[in-house]
Formats: sequence, structure tokens, C-alpha cells
Amino acid sequence: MDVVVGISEYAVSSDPDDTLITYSLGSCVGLVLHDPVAGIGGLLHAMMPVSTADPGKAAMTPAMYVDTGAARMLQEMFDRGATRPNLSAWVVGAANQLDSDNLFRIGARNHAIVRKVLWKNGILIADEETGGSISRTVTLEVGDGRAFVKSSGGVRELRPPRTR
Amino acid sequence: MNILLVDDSDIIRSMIKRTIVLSGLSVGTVHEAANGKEALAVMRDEWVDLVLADLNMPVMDGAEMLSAMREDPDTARMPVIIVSTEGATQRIDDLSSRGVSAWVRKPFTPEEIRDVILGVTGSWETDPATDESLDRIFGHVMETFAYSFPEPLRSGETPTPDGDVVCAEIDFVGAISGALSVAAPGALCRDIAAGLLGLEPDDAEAATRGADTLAEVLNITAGHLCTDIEPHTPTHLRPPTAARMAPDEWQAFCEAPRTRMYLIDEHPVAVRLDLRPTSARA
Repeated sequence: MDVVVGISEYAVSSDPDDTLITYSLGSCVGLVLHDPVAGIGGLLHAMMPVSTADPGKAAMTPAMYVDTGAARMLQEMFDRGATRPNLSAWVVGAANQLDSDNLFRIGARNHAIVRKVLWKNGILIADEETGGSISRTVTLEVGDGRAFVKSSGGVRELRPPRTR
Repeated sequence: MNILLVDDSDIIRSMIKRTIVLSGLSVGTVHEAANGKEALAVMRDEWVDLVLADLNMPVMDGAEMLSAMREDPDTARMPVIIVSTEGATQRIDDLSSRGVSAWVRKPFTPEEIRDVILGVTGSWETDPATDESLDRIFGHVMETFAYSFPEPLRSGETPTPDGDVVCAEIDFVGAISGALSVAAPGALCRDIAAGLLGLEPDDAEAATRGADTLAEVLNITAGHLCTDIEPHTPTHLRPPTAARMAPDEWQAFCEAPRTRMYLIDEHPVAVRLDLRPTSARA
């Protein structure tokens, strides 16, 4: 079943028939996590970098912010059996917003914060497709842990972790 | 694989170390040094397979360290990854000509460090051609000296030898560097010794010469293997050593990923080749 993840939402699934999907990531950042051992996947579509900007809003909608959203999704995955060493992580989106002079650099900030959260959690990014000024769609097949990014440039499978 | 991190910033060393652990690289020990001089001392005393080094450091900088390494046969071809703020193309070209395997410019992300290390070490996975050389050369030596034919064991199970086990080891440095070790039942070593010396297998002298014989078989195998892999540049073989091996050591030796198992006259024999990477191979 397709599980659509909206803006400021995340989804965690351990149904091998599920495909998690989020559309049109611009400066928003998509974080895809998968644990093949626990058979669990997660997808976050966060809009803004840090929750300190508006703690009230972050409490209501943690997935709006990268820091709270990633932490919440990670915790839920750990609660459901995922472990850090088994997690594959992919990062998609974080494009340069075409606002006036790209003043707030939202995409770059979202990217930096997602990297920070992952590094803190001891998770290296297996592959990413970020930056530029295009809109991207990302999917995760929970059953086999394959992640794909789709944009005007076509569809590409994100590389699995390069571990031995 | 043992890695040496050379940077005067312990923050950078810690960050790279964490990245290495998270990368899932099969790393033995991560050594650290705060400058080139300390690093050379570590390389003298410890087994190092890969060096990640900064350039600008007090006492001895990375370029001086690299020059010293290249003059010492033990480290002449050790792979070095430079992790530095340096961006001047002339300096980069100059150092690259001295055998730098890769460059990472600060600041870097953990993922960049991981990718560069994997890029440099990726080609070090056991080369099937090397396994084939080992089978062939070990077979040749055993045939000539021991009148027997090692059969490679393909199954995953580890046979337990009857009686004592002897393990011989030899290190070599030069065009290629590494170690070759062999573990064999004492009974087989005695048989080989008896065959070589023209004695009866139950002769008391054969019993005392078993371990030395195994060491010599290893010595000859290693010599041939080195010239087989690198026919032109010489490799220096250090004197082999041989010692008794405990049953749990045998088990661990046989289960190591690079160990190849053979059956010789019904005896299980384990041979392990650890090739130290060199900058030329990387």
C-alpha cells in the first residue's frame, strides 16, 4: 500500500508491502531510514530546520522541524525494534528556495540540521540527493529497503550503505 | 586493517575515528599521532596499513613526514590520505607525485571521509588472483618438499585436528608488504620433516624438527608468492617464527575471513595471507 507522507509529517511502517512516499520536496528535507533486520522503514518530510524557532508549534507538529521530527521518527523506530548500526539513511530535497536572493537559505539549513542529527545518532548517510533548485519525490519500499528519488531529471535508486 | 591518524587537532582525530567506526570498516586498531615525528615512531613500532595525515602540524609537518616515509623501505609504499586545508594546486601536485592516495580538503563531512577511505581501501579486498597464486604456490612447495597435494577445502566447517597444532608466521616488506601464516597439525609437520630429511616418520629427530620444517615451507611459499605478485621489485622476508597453537587459537585462525583451508594427507591445514596495502596498489 502507498503511504503518502505530507508536509510536516512522518510515517513509520513495518509492513513489507508498504511504500512510503513523499511528493515535491523543495527546500523541505526528506529523511529516509530503513532497518533491514527489524524490517522497518521511516520517512520524514520536514519543512524548517530547528524547533527553537517556535517551540509551541514544534510541540503540536514535531515533524514540521528537522530536529524534532527526526528525533521523533528515530525514537519511534527504535521503540519498534530498529537499531542504530542497522539503519540505512538517505537524505533528499533541501533545494535552494528560489526566494529573493535565497536570503534564509532554508534548504541548506535543513540539510545541515539533518546531518547534525544523524551524526549525533551515529548514523552515516548512505546516499543523498540534495541542493539545486528542483523539486523531488522520494519513495521507500519497506519490504526490501530500496529508496528512489524522482525529479525532472528522472528516477534514480539511492545507493545502499557502503559497509562491509 | 590498522589506521594511523596524524593531526595536531584531537578534535579532528576524534571525528575521523568516529567516522571510521560508523562506516563499518573492518578496522583493527586506530593509532593516533599529533605530528609527523610521533607518527613515524608509531609506524616503527606498530603495524599500520593506512595513514590519514594533516599537512600543517608543529614539530614535523605532513610533507616532511611523507618524505621520511618514502625513504624508509618499510613505509615507502604505505598508502597516505591527506586531510588538510591545503588548496594550492602546486603543493598538491608536488605531494601527489610522492604517492598520496587521496586528498580530503577541510572542512569535510563524515560521509566524505568514509567515501575516500572506502575508495582507497576498496580495491584491497581479497583478490581472487592472489588466492589462486597462493593455491598454486603452496601446492607446488608441498608437492616438491612434502610429496603431498593440498586440496582446497571449500566447505565452511572447520575440522578439528587430532593432537597438537603448530603455527608458523612470516612478515615481509618491500614491493608488497604483509604476513603469511600457516597452521598445521604437529603430526603433519613431523611427516613433512621426515620426508625432507629422509627419515622414518616415527624417528625422534623428525619430531623435533617439525616446527622448523613448517616455518621453512612457509618461508619458501612466501618468497614465491611475493615474486608472483610483484615480479620486478624485491621484497624483504623477515625470518619466520613457529610456535605451538592452542585449540581455541586454531578455531579463531580458521574462521578468520582471509584464511584458506586445505586438506593435506587427511590433515586440515589453514593458511592465511594478510597483504598490507601499498600506495601503488591503491
